[in-house]
Amino acid sequence: MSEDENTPDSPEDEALDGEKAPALYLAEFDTTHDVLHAAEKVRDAGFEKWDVHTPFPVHGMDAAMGLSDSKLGLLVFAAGAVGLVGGFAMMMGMNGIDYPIIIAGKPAESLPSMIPILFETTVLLSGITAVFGMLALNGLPRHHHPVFYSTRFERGSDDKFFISIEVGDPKFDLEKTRELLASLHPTHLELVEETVP
Amino acid sequence: MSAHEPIAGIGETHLLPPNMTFNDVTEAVARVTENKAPRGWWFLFIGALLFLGVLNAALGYLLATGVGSWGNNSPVAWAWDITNFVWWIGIGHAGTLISAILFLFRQKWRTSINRFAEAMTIFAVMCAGIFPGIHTGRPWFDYYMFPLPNQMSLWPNFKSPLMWDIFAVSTYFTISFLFWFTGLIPDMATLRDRSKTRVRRMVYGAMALGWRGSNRHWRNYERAYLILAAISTPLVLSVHSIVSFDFATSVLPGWHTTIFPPYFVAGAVFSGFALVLTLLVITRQVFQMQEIVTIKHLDLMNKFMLGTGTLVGYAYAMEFFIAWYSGNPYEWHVFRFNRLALTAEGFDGTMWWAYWAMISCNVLVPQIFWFKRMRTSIPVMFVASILINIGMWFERFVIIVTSLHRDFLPSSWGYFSPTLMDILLYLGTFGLFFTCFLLFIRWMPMIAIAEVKMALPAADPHWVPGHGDEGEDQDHAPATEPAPAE
Amino acid sequence: MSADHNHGGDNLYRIPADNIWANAWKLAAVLGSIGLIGSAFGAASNPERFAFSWLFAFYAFLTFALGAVFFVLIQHLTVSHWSVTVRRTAEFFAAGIPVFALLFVPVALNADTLYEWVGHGASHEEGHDDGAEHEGEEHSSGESLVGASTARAQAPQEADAHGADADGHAAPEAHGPGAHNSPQHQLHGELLEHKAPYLSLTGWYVRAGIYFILWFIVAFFFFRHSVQQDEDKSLDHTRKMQAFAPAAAAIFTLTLSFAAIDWIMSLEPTWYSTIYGVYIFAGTVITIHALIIVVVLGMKEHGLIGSAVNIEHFHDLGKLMFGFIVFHAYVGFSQMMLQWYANIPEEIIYYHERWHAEGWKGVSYFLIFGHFVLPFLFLISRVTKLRLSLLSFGAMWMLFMQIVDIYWFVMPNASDGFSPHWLDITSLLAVGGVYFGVVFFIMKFFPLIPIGDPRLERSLGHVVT
Repeated sequence: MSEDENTPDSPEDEALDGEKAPALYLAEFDTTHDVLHAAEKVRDAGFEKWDVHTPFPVHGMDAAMGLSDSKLGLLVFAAGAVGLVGGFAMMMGMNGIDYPIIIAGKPAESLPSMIPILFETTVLLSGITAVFGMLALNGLPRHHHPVFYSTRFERGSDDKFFISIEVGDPKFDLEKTRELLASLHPTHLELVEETVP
Repeated sequence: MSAHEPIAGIGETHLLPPNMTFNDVTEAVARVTENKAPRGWWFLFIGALLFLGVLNAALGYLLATGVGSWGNNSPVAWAWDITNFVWWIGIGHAGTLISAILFLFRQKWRTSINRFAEAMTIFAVMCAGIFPGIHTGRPWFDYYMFPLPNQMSLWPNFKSPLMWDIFAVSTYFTISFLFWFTGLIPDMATLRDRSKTRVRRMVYGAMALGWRGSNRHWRNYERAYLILAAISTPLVLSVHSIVSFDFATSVLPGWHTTIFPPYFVAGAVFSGFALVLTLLVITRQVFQMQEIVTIKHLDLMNKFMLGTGTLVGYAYAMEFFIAWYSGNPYEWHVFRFNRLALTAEGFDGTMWWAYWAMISCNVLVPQIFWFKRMRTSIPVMFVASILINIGMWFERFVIIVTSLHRDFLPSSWGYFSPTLMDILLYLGTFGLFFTCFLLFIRWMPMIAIAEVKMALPAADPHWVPGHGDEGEDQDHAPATEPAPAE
Repeated sequence: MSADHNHGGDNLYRIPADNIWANAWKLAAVLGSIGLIGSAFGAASNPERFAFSWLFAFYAFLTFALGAVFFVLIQHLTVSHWSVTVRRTAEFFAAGIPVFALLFVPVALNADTLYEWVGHGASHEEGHDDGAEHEGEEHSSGESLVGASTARAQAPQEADAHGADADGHAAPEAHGPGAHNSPQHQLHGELLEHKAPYLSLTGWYVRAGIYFILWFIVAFFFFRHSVQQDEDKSLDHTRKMQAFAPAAAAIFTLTLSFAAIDWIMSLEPTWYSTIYGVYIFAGTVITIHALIIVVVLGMKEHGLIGSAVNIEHFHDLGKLMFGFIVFHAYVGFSQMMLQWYANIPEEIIYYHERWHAEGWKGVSYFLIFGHFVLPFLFLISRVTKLRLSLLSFGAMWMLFMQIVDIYWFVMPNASDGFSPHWLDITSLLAVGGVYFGVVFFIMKFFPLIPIGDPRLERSLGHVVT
C-alpha cells in the first residue's frame, strides 16, 4: 500500500534564522485500520515519546498504544465533592448562621430547600473541572508543536492518520526508527525538522 | 456480511450515504465558513439586526420608564416576561438533550445535528436570561441575587425558588457553553489547518488551542466529553424542574401540582426539538447539507417530537384528571372554567382560546407523525414544527395567566392584555437569537465534523476499504480484536 | 467471531435437564407453597392485616413484571441491538404477568377492608346523583365559588381529623354509612362522594380487568413473536414488534399510571399527586434492570448462555440502572419537596404519616439512604459496574429496596405506627414464589437468547464504541 517512502523532506523553508534540527518522524496512513495496527507495532517496539494523530478518536487506539485509563474522573469527582460541601457551607453560613431568616414557616436551615442549589454547585464545579482538567492533562493550550512544521500534517485534521516518534525518545535512532516506520507501510514518511534559534 | 450492515428487511437503512468519505464531511461543513455567504444569508442577517435594534430600543425604553409599560397588573402579576423566559429556556433544552442524553444512549445519528442544537441552547439561554434580569424593574440592583450581603447585611434567601433559578440558569449556561466549546476544539483545528489567509489561521488557531489530534489527548478529551454528558443529563432535568418549582412550590391552583418537574422537562425538549427542526430544514437547504443531515435524521427527530408531544399530552391529561379527583374546588375551577371552558352553550370564559391553542398545537398536531409520509415530508414537518413552537409558548402562557387572572376572590378577577412593549421585547429577542445564530452558521462549523466522521463506517478500524459499500471482510482483522471469547 | 455457535443445534441456549436452573421452579414452588399456607392461615386469623400484606406483596412483584414489559417494548421502540441477548430474560418475566390476574383475587375480595372509599358504597348512588346536580349548578352559574370556599375552609380540619383519627382510617367500619355524625366525617364523606364516579367498586373491577387484559396482550404479543422467530427466523416478526411498540408504550404508560392510582394511591383516597404514575414507573425500571443483571448472571455462571452476554452488556445494564436510580430519586424528591414546601394539609398528610407516625421516620431515612445515596455512591464508579460480583450485589440490593419502597407506599395505611408483621413475609413468599415459579418453569421450554433475532449477531459482538 506504500506509494512513496521519501527520505526526510522538510517543506517549511521560509526565511527563518537558525539551524534546523530533526524533531520527529511523521508516518502517514490512509485508514484507521492501518494506523491502529501500525501503532501496535510501535508500542511493542517500546517507544515512549510517540503519538498517534487522528482527525477523530479511533476506537481501540488506547489499547493499541498501551495507554492507561484517563485520570480525569477522579479529579471531577473531587471537584464535585468540593462543590457540594461549598454550596452547603454557603447556604448554611448565610441563611442558617450569619443571618437566620425564617420563611414560609420553614426552619432557617432546612435541607429540602437546599437540595436544588447543592446540585447546581456540584455540577458547576464538576463541569468546569472536566473541561479545564482535560486541557491541563493534555498540556493545552499550546501554541506551537514540531508536527505543525509538516505541511502534510494539515490533513491530519481532515482524513489522514499519523504516527509521530520524537527525537527525544530514548530508543530513537535516525536510521533504525526510520526502518521500523517504513516496515509499517505508511503512505508517506518524513523527518520533520524544527528550527533551533 | 458485517454485523453492522443495515438489514433492509426490518427497515434499517444507512444513516449517511455509504460512499461518503472523511474528506467529503470536512468539505461540506468547512466550505460554508470559507465560501461567500449566500444572498439569503445576508437578507436574514439584516432582518435579524433590525430586530436586534428593536430589542435594544425596547430595553432602553423599559429602563427609562419602568415595568409599568408592560401589561402586567394585579391580579396578573407575571405574564409575558416569565412566559418568554420559560419558553426560551425550554428551547435550549433540545440542544443539551441531543448532545448529552443521546450521546449516553449512543444514538449516532445525533452527530449531524448536535453542534447546531448546542449553539441554539446557548443563544436561547442568553435570550431567556434577559427577562428575569429586567423584570425586577431596577436591573442595576440585580446583584442582590448574588450571594453577597446587601446594605442591611441581609443575604439572599436560598429558600426561594427564584434563587434556585439563578443558580440553575447560570450553571446551565456555563456548562452548556463549556460543552459546546469542548466539542468545537477539534473542528477549529480542522478549520485552522485549511485556512488560506493569515487572519483565519490566527483566529481559528487560537480557538483550536493547539489541538493536534493526538491520541493521548483524545483519551482525556473523550473522558471529559463523557463526564460532561453525564452531568449535563441531570443538569438539563434540573433546570426546567427548577423553573417549574417557581410555580409549583406555591399554593396557587393551576400552579401547584407535583407532575410539573418532569412535565416541564418533556415540554422543553419537545419545543426545543421543534425549533431545531424549523431552523435545520431551512439551513440544510440553503447550505446544501442534505447529505449530512439526511431525511432519516429528520424522520428520527419527528419521532422524538411525537414521543415528547404525547408525554406532554399525558401530563395535561393527568393534571386535568387529578384536578377533578382531588376534590379541590379551586383547582377544578381553574381547569374547568379558566382553561377548558367548554359548556353546553359553547366556550365560556375569557382565556379558553389559549388553552385550546395549546392542546391543538402540542397534542393533536404531533399525532400526524404516526405516519411515515408525514415524518418525511419537509413542508409538513416545517409547518408542524412552527405550530408546536406556538403551542409551547401558549402552554406557558396558559399556566401563568389563566391561573392568575381568576383566582380565589371573584372581586379581584381581571384580564391580561399585552402592551406594545411586551410584544416588541419578545420580537426583539428573536433579533438577538438570530443574529447570534446566523453569525454562528456563517463562521463556525455548524456540524460536528469529527463526530460525524466517527459515525462513518470507515471510522471503525475493522473496516477495510476496497469492497464497495459492503464494508465486510473480517479476515484482515487479526486475533487481537476484542471479540468475546468462549 | 463467536457468533458461529449461532448456527448450532436446537439445544443451543436451552436449559439442560441436569442443570440447576431446570429445577429452579421447584424451589420457587416450595417457597411459594410455604407462603401460601402461611398466608392462608393469616387470612383466617388476621384478615385485615392479611389484606394489606397481600396487596403490598402483590404490587411489589407486579412492578417486576411491569418493568419487564417496559424493557421489552422500549428495546423495540428504540430499535436497540445491544440488548438483544438479554431481552429474552425480560420476555420471560413479562410472560409471567397473567399470574398476577390470579394473585389479584385476594386483593379484589378484600377491597372493602383495604379501601376506605368502598365503605361509601351504600350512599354511593345518591351521592353520585347529588354530585352530578351540584356540578350542573356549577356549569350554569359562577355561584359555586361561595360553596366551594366553605368546603375549602373546612378542608384542613377534615385532613387533620383524617390524620389524627388514624384508627378510623385503618378500620373502615368506622366509615360505614352510619358513622357520619361529626362534621369532619361529613366533609370527608362528601369528598369521597365527589370521587365516587371514579372510585366505585364496579368501575374499579372493570378497570382492573382492562389493565390485566391489556398487559396480557402486550406481553404475549412480544413473547409469541420473539419465540416464533427462534424457529422461523423471519424478519416479519421484528417488523411487527417494531410497529406495535409505540402503541404498546402508550398503553403501558396509561395502564401503569391508573393501576397505581386505583390500587395504591386510592388507599389514601383524599390524597393525590399528579406525578404518582411517574414515581411508580421509575421504580419499575430500576427493578427490571436489577432483575436482569441478577438472573442473567445466574444463568451465565451455570454455563447456560456461554459468552452471549458479555461484560459490556452488564456494564450497560448497570449504567441504565444507575441512571434510573437517579431518576427515581429526582421524581421522589420532586413530589416530596413540592408538597413539603406548599404545606397544604390535604397533601402533607401523606408525608406526615410517613415521617411523624411512630417508626416510619426510620423507614423513610432508610429509603433516602438505601434507595439513593448509598447505591449512588456505590455504582457511580465504573469499577463497580465492571466487577460482576459487586454489580450483582448492587442489583440485589435494589430489588430489596424496591420491595421496601412499595412497603413504604402501602403499609402506613395498615397500622398506626411502623409494625412489621409475619404476614408481610409469608405474602412475599407466596406471591414471589408463585410468580418466579411460573417464570422459571416457562424458561425450560425456550432458548434463553432470542436466537432468531436479526440483530443477534451485533449484540453478541457488543463492544463499547
